[in-house]
Amino acid sequence: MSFSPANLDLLISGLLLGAVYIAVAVGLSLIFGVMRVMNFAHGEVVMLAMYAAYWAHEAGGVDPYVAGLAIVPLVFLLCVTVLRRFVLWLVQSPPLVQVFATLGLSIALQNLALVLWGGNYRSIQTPYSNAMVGLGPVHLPLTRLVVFVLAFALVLGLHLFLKRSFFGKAVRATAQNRRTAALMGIDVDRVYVLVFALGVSIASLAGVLLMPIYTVYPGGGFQFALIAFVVVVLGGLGSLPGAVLGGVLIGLVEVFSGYFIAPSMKQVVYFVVFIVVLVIRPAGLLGQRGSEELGLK
Amino acid sequence: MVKEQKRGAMLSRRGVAAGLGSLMAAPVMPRRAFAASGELRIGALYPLSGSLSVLGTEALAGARVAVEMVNEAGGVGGQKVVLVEADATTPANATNEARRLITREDLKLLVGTYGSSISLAIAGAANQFKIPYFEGAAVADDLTQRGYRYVFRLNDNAAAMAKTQAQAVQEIFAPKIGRPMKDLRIAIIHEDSAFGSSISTDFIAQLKQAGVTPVAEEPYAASTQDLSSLVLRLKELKPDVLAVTQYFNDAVLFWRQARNADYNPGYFISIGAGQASPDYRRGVGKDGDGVLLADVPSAGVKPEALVPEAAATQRQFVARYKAKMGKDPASHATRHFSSMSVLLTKILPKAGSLDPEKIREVTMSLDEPVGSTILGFGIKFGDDGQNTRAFNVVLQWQNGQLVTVWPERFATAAPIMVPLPNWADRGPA
Repeated sequence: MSFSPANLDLLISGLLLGAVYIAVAVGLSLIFGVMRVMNFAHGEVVMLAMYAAYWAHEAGGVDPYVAGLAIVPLVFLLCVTVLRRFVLWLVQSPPLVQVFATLGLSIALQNLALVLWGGNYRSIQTPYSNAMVGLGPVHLPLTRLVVFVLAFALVLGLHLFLKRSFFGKAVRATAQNRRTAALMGIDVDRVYVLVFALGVSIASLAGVLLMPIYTVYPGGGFQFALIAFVVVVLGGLGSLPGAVLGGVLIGLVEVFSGYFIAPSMKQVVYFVVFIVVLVIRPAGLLGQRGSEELGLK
Repeated sequence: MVKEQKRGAMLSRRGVAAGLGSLMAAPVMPRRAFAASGELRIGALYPLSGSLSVLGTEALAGARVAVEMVNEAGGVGGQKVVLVEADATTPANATNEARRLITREDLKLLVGTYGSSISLAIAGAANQFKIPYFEGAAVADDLTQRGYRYVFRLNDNAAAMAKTQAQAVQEIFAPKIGRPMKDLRIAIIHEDSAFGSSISTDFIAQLKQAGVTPVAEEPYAASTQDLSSLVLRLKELKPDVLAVTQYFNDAVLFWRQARNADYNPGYFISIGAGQASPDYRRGVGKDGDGVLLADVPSAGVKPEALVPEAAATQRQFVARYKAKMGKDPASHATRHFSSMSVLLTKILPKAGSLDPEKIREVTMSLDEPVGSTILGFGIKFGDDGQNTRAFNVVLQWQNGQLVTVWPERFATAAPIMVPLPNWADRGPA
């Protein structure tokens, strides 16, 4: 395959799309890695954050990025206060209860959005909606570049935080063995609540960043979450570098197969890749065997 | 005392005169099977909850205005029309609700709906019980091709949309650039549900008649998060004409990504789905200007194009709908009003009863010229139950407004931006 301008365009499109998937998948991966909870309402967090940014822009005239500065901390606060009990209940429930609780929440939130705002597809126009940034021979849409930069910065920051900081060590200890961690004097409840809050606020950040690019509707978050699940499982459950690798891989496979095979085939192609990877490496690309029981890498 | 007697006498004289009058009139009036009073109950199935509810509710509101106007004018044959409403959200649910209305509510006539798969489900159930069903807005060609004897559609179908899509190339673009249609390279992209696929199939058939083979047909899933690969393929292919059928989400995504990748389609003709909504204009801003679509004249038919009676009905409908819903009627509400209005004023009074054969006979006998319904359609039903005088017009976004640009009889403005300017020559959105 020669490196023609079209291939360069495809490579960039694929990477930018991969960054979108990573932004949505990181929070999911983090929560699963530490709490062993597959949060099926993850997409709805993205959707609600998109609505929040939408209404801030439409009703208040506030730029979505600026609104994000309020939305994300608010979501975090909400998680550590109002939702605290729910989080602790969730983490102690049997897996089946966790699945149905979060799946039920997902359906309830979708319908709540439908009742509140109707089924309309809503999108916003900002002064920079069509802004392009020139980097050497290529031009990148600014809004997607922002997602790309922030997604990678976020993963890197999170990775360093977990590896280097004291609290990060406590998080990893809790993920590896909750009982022993508690015996070592770690407040595991606090770890769970904070990790949950962190994961959910990252999802809300993703929603805010996606609003200038995409259209929001009640079922919209679910579409993103579906791919996030593929990304997380492909990369290895609970592995942050895995989520990055999975996101980039799916983005590239989607764009290249859409171009060289057919746009209608791209989902088929990435699900084939997904299945093949799982057959060869059941734990995902960077996951460890039994990761659903063992800890965050 | 005397006064009272006199009044009594007058009353009775008037009564006798009225009685005589009706006796004299009786022989020339059609056989009246409707009781002179009471209610005429019609089942109305619409998606009123769930994701289709926005347009479903608007469609029902349009139908209600038609009922209200007929009732104020004395009803149908003296009977007050009552809609028995049911929520039909999915095909399975629509089948159940249609059966319930027929068997439990004992209804003899159904109307609806929005969404082709729901429509097919209701039509199937109605056909089973030989109950007439009047479809107001769903466009699947299939609906009137299944041999259902009592299923009728006054409004346009996918074939009519695709035909206008082809006409928009032949009548607007080809003359403008001075090249015959058969020399044009035409590419088709469409979302891959039954809606997009059926319009695309019809469009290809239309092109075939004109001796054109499309250079590409690219289906994709409307739920996608990325259309950059499709945009880059088109950028490479450089067709003269891009014909599209898109829902809302993918319509906005495609247009934004086309701009990002600097893909410049010379001519862009779409279908009244994604591109027809005011939300589309909000999503793409000024970039939407120049986009063409085949649809019913949702921006309102100019009254000169209608017969006087239809023009008066249109005025009344728009005023009443606006008072009720607080906004102008969009295409679905107008389609449903029109369909219901024709049913209640032109079909049922003549049929005189809800006998399905009688209703079919009257429906088939209608023969009215173009311009006699508020969407501009004439009325002449084909054997299959599809109105053959339903059609689409070409609309265009111009300075943020949707205007009718073709054909001349219905046009409110001339087409602009043919061919479309390059992105580099456009201002910011």
